[in-house]
Parts: sequence; C-alpha cells; structure tokens
Amino acid sequence: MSWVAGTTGGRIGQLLDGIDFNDRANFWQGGIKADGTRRTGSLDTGDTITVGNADGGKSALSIIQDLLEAERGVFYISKDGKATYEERNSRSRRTSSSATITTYALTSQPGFEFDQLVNRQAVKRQYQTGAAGTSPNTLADGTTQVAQNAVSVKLFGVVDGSEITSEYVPSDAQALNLAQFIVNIRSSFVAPVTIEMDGGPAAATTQMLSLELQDRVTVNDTVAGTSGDYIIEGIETEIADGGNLFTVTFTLSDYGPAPFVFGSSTQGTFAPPDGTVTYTVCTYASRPSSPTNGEYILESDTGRYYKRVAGAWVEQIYPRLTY
Amino acid sequence: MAVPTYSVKIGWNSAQAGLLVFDFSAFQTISGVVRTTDVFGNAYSAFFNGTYDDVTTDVQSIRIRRGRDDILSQMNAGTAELEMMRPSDRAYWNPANKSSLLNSANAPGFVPMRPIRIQATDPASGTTYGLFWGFIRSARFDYATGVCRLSCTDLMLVLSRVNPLDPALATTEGGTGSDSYTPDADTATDADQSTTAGKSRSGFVRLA
Repeated sequence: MSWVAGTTGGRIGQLLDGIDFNDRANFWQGGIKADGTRRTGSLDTGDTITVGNADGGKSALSIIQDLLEAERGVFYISKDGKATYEERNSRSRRTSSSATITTYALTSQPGFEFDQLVNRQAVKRQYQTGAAGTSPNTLADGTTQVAQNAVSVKLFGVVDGSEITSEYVPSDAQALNLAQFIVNIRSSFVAPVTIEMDGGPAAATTQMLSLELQDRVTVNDTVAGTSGDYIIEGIETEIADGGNLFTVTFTLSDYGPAPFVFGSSTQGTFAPPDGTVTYTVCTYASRPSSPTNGEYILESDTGRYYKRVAGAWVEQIYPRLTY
Repeated sequence: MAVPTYSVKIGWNSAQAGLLVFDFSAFQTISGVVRTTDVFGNAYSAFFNGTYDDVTTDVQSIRIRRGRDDILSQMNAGTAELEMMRPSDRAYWNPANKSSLLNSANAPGFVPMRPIRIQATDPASGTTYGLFWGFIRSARFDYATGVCRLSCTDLMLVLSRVNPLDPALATTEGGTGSDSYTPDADTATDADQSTTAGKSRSGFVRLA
C-alpha cells in the first residue's frame, strides 16, 4: 500500500469522482466560507491528511465516515441532490441566523440526557512509516492523547468515550485537539431540541421549506421559555391527506458558545484576530517554506489559523468557534 | 392558513438524459451482460435531468428523513417513504403487473434505482424547493388495499454499495494485485471491459 498526501475534501471528491458523480458546478457544494457565503461548485477543504490507497475492502461511505471521525465535519446530500461536505469550521462561520422561529408554529421539546455525557476521551493517531508516495508502507501508532474535563469529572465522575484510532489525524497535537474537542462538546449533556412546524403565517411556511441541514436558526419560544441559537441537525417532513397535513420537524443542537475549561486544553489559548499575535497571511498552497516554531499563519483561502509547533502546523481554534 | 403544494416525480426510462453514470461498478455483472441498457449507462453531465413522470395525484402519504439525531452522530442517508395508490386502477402500482402502464409504457419500467424527486412550492412566494432527491430502493405492494409502499434513499445508497480501489492497487489489465485480471480475447464483452479506463474487473470503482 502506498500513501498520498491530500485533504479531507480532496479525498471525498475522489470518492465522488469514483462513482462519476462529478458535475461539480451543479452538484457539489461546501459549507460556509469566511465571508459568510456558501461555497458552491466544490467541497470544503478539511484537514491536510495523508491517506493510504483504497484497497476495495471498504465502501466509499465507510471511508467518508472514517475521514469525518477525525475531521469532525459533515457530509450529506442536500434536499436538492447536491453532495455537500462542510468542514468543521463551517458551523462557526454561520455568524448569523437564517431564520427566527417564534411561537407561531412551535412545539419545542428541550431536555437533557446523562447518556450523552463524555468527560474523558482518548485519541490515538496512526501514521505512515515511510514518505508519501512510497510503497510498501505500514502504519505505526502515535502516542495516545487523553483530554478530560475536570469540572465535569468532579460533578459526575469519570465517563470515558470509546477510544478513537484514526489514520486521518495528522499529528499527536491534532489528536489532543480532537480529544479536547470531543470532551468539549460531550461534557454538555443537553439533549437536542425538536421543533415541529405545520404551517401558520407565510413566514413559517417559507421556513419549513427553505431551511436546510446545518442552517443556524434562532428559537424564541416565549411560551415555553426556550430561546437561543441552534444548528439544524435533522429534518423530517410528513405529508398526508392530499397535502392538507404538511408537517416539518427540525432536530436542533445548541450553537454555542461551546463549553470551554478543561485544564491543559490548548483551545482558546490563542486568538489571532484579537491582536495579541502577528500572523502571516498566505494560502494553503503558499504556506511559508521555512517556518520557525512559534510562527502563526492565516490561510486566506480556507480561513484557518495555524501555529508552528514542533515542526508541524497546528490549527488554532477560537473557543466560540469550536463546537 | 395556506399549506404548501407538493409534487412527486419519478423517471422510469432507462436512458435518463444526463443521469449520472455508475459504469459497470456494482451495477453490472462480471460477464458484461448488462451494458448500455444498464440503469446508469448514460452520460452524466447533470443529475436527474431526464424525463419525469408526475405521480403526485397517486400519493397517499410521504415521510422524509434527512440528517442525524444529534451533533455527535454521523449524518444518515436521506430516506423517503411513500404510499402510492390509484383508486381507478387498483393494480396500477403493482410492480409485477406487466400490463400496468408503469411497466408497459416504460423500459425497464417499475424497477429499483429509478430516480425520484420530491418538491414543494411556497404558496406565498411561488418558490419551489427541493425536499428529497434520491432513488427507489424497494417497493411493496398490497393488493388488499391497492397501496404500494416505496422506500427511497439518496446518493448515500450508492456510496455505501461501491468499494473504491485506488489506481496503484487496481490492476485491471493484468497487474499483480489482488484485483489482477487478464481479459479473455475470445470474449468481446471481456475485451471491451478491459479497455475501459478506470474500472476494475472485480466490480470495484477505481479512483482517479
């Protein structure tokens, strides 16, 4: 098996090409870009990764799921048939809501579930022992990285998540980031909110039809007291009685801010745009050729910030921008 | 209170203009018996651009599910479940009824993997939105009620059924890998397949 360098989005694109679903202009799209608009005609970039050749032992969908377990973005088919890959940061780039859902057609069902809780997580990366493009090659294990939420552990006791082992995590530092990220989102055990809409004023009907997965919405249910910003994770549509019954149910997750504490977490220790550091603007293809440790860059094409740590670029993420 | 109007359209014909191509990956037999008449044996400049049959009036109910249950899960394949019935012709939606127009007027007719699209129109603005685009996966007909239940899945169905193979391992034309295959010169279909770039004889899809 040989290995090739690439990106998460690039690999998913290869898989779509493999089934000849390659009308990029009409049927590929990404998530939200740094300028707040949706990327059309191409998938998002995702992480820089090195992947082994597909050997026919896994389905294309399984490979995509493995990629996303490490990158934490989402892949779905849009309601109008477009293959959509949104990298994880796309969620945080939704800086405003697509719609405000109020009491006019609302049944909100908030709650919590202890079973959702994970406050300690281990992630182990696997890496190739040879250079990209060489063959044969083998996988070796990196150092297992463990993150935990001390506050949550004190409140609820230790709840471990299943250890994640992935060849798509590029460094031990990224493995730690991933572990911290999972602990961040799973230390909160708030259950998804479901919103059911069955028409009402014109605005409600438009929302039922126009809203899409991963859209950000504001909920303002003054009757039940549920309010806040959410991301649409699921949509269920039911039509019956010749169209007289037309119901749309949205499953929502909390938009943020994400819980952020956690001892040794590196997330949130750095925020380039706040002026505390100077960063070099470049593109993914034009990263500095001879970087020094401690150097910061902003990729203008991906909208991502990186810090050079121990000879590798480590993505830097805002607390708010992690989910 | 105005409710949206909806439409359900299905493409029955074998040669959907612009339908995506699956070549002879998981959808063709190794012997190459199924070839240009394959469901997906056409050009693929666009998706779902063929002729569609509007079956909205036969729809009894629709349930569409897309996305995931929570932020921690992977996105599920989008699915649509439809109940179809034509009161004036109880056997119309019977997949095994060869005299039904669905089968007699179309080729290959009422079979799996027909493209289906469901849309709805906003009564206020007149804007039409997509609700689901996918393929018919299965049909179950109940003559007692005349109802045919269609189960449909979006493109994730195809991705879940195709095992990709990278070029370095895809030794279709006589390589040494696990997928190694030497075409039989006496068999036209074999020779034909062996010259088709990018496709594995084992049925895997080779990545570019």
